[in-house]
Amino acid sequence: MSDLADGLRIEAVRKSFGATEVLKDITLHVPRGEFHTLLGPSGSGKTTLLKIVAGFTPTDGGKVALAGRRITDEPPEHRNIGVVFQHYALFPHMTVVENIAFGLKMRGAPKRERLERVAEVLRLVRLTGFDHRRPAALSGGQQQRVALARALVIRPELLLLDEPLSALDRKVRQEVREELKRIQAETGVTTVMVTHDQEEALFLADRVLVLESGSVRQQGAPADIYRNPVDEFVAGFLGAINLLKVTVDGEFLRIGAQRFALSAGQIEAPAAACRGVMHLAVRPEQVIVELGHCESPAGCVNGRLIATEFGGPIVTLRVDVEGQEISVLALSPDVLSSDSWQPGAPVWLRIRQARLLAATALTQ
Amino acid sequence: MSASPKRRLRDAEAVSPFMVAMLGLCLAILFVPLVIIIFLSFNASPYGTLPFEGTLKWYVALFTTSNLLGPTLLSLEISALVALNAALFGTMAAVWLDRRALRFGGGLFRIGLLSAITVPWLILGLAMLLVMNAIGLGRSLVSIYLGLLATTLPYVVFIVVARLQSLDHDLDHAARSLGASPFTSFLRISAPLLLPSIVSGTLIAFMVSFNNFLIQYFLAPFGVQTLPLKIYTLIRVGYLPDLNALATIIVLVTCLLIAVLHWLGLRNAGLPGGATP
Amino acid sequence: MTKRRLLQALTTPILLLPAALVVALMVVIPLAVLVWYSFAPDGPGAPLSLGSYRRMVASPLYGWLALKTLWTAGIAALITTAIAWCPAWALSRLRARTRNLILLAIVIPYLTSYLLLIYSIYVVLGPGSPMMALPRLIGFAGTGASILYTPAATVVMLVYENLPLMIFVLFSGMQRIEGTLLAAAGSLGAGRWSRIRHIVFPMSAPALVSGLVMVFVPMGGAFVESQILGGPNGLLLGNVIADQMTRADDPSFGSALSLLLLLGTLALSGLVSLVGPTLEWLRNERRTRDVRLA
Repeated sequence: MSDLADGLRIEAVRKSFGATEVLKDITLHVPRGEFHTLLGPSGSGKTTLLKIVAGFTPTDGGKVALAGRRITDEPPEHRNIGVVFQHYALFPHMTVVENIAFGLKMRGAPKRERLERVAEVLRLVRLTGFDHRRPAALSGGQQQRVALARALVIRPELLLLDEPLSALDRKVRQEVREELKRIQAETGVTTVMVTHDQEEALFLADRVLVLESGSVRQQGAPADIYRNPVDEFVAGFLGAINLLKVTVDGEFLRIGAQRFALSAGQIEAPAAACRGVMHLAVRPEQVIVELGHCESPAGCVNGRLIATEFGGPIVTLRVDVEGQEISVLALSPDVLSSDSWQPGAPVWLRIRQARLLAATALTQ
Repeated sequence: MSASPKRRLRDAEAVSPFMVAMLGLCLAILFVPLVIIIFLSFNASPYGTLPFEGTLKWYVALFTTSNLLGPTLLSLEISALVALNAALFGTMAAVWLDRRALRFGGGLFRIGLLSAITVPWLILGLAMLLVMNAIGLGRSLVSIYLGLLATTLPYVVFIVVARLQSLDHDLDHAARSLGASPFTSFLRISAPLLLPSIVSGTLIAFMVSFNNFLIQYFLAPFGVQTLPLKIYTLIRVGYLPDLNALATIIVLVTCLLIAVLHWLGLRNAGLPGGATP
Repeated sequence: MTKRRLLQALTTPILLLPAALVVALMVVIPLAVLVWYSFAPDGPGAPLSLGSYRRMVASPLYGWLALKTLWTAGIAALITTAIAWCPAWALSRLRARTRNLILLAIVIPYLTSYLLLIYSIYVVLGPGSPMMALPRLIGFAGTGASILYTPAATVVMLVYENLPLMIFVLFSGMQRIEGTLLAAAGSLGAGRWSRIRHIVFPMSAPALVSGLVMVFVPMGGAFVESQILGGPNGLLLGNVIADQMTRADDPSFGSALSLLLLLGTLALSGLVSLVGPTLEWLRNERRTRDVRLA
């Protein structure tokens, strides 16, 4: 059923440290050439999973296979996996060239071949000319690229990235992010990145797996899971979200005294039971807000402006609707062009896209 | 109070002249005896009396007629051997402590090491002699070697372990992921980074075993004299001018070794109060 | 078990073996033998008895000697602390460069063979030396007099030997007291001596205690110092032990005395270590009582 030579397969892997169950029955598949991200808060088990795949930690059960080969019990040095560590782990007593050539040396490549391949990979990460520098003389972004080069030069079956951007300044992060995407596309290496930063994950990955407390909550393409989070945790973790308490009333949703039709916007509801009190998950950018009062019945909702928060290109508007607060994103020019956007002004809202989620005890 | 916070910090940090004077006094106490010895080593009088008459004759005597050279060489040989062995076995034990030790075994070993340097060497030396007698080695060069080794291992182990634990474990992981066996990873990655600590530990082991009079006193066979033992017999005779010359040379060599240790990056030359085991 | 795990299991003991053997043979076993011998006055083969301990208790000499030794060591330890305290504090406030230079200088006497140190103190305290000229001028001492060959000389020697170590230990404790704390106290009205009394001293007290213990234990075992410098009245327990074990050839009695010394110093050190926590407990009791009354 599965193409044997296709990337990374993890089946039913579990791991406990003492009494704590860190990974609970994880199964996933990364096809060859794709870029997957394991996204989750600290403690979700994502780093442990990475260490298990790399071979630094043994697993309590389950299997790991790479390119059709079982690697569950292999030591790290036999797995042919390139790893980029969060703090780069460059060998401080070696130059850039020596660092990068290390893997080739371990494989017995002759000197000329080593030099050629190192030069090639330095070109790839755009660090030609840095050959004889020591890691201490490099900036964070440069160190990161050396670490990447070191992992890629051995032409690994799999590239593992452990929070690669977390140690970098914001500005550098943008640049390196784009580099990473370009390099992965150029080399076509199967890549798994571990991170807690949802912005990174959504930008870089072909597919995102959201991990929480040792299990995969949801996986899918970035845009899909962003638009259709399966539960409140995923919804809140991937970006700002409004969770409105609504009551399902046939074809309508009631918020306090007002109601609007399910068909008025693209409101996706889960197939399962859709009744009673539920939470409507609405992204702030999916709400259109206008000054004044809404006439169309069941197509829009009326509310009162509480505050406006200027944030450069966008303005965050906080609106009160039947006692609940909803955040709305609007473009600055639209808001700032008029003086009427004052606290207390009546406004009306139209919801473009949202998702109905079961109400959990976690939210008020 | 209108003083700026920075000024207030500086004022509070500044030490009173009294404290500095006490520091000066303390340093004087520490160095005056040594300075006097160095001074007297250039003094012609064989009884250490003034007036001062400059001469180098005691240094010449030291290398020609005095019988201090023999014991010095013996001490150097023994200490060098002990130091090198302590470096090897101590580093191995340090690696074991850092990577492979079970908590119980590791703790036990540490206690053993601590005992070697906290139990007064008078008692330890005597106890060692009892055991050496019991197993038939008695007073012998082998006994001295073993005794000195036991009392210098702790220094090497604690210094190297401290360094090992401060090394990023990801370095080893990186090497392994690139294809290095655990042994190769240690050899090519950890060992080079450990080298300064190992060298420092070796130097300290050398000095400690060179100077360890008590262990040598109890374990040396009659007739065998290391330098501390020789000095001991001489002191009971009284003032000895070529001893002054030797002392001066030793103090100078100590200064040099300390400079080397500092250059290797060891804080406080790796002593208690600075590096905790 | 995979081949790899097997290899790892085999190499692990090899790493530890040489060091562990040496430590076991030269530290653990000797100490155990010491305890054993102290209970074997009739030789190793004979049945165990308390003979040596009875002998020890029978004559008041040994008890008195033990007290004298602990007393000497105690005084020396306290004097060392008193001399080292202010310099350590000054060092902790100096700029890094000056401070490191001075610390390195202090290491020199620390690493010098203590026999050479004894010799230099011997020369310094001798009647002909320039050092005694000063007290003689003041009229403190007659010509030809010196404290050499008196118990005071032993104390001087012990202090001199252990000064560097005490400075290091105190310094490392005091170094942790941040200048900002003192500045805060200053801004609240505390003068220099107040700050020392209320902040520096309490916060450096643990280091002080550990320093005291670290020098007290080896001082208790001193014997070369007292032998060379102490004179006829300077005999300490260490001398007697050395004598018993080597010349008098009564290892059992010597062992018993050694254990007495060891336990005495450890017990006293333990008591001193408890002073801090006890005071803290008393202070807490008073605080809760005051709160209850308020």
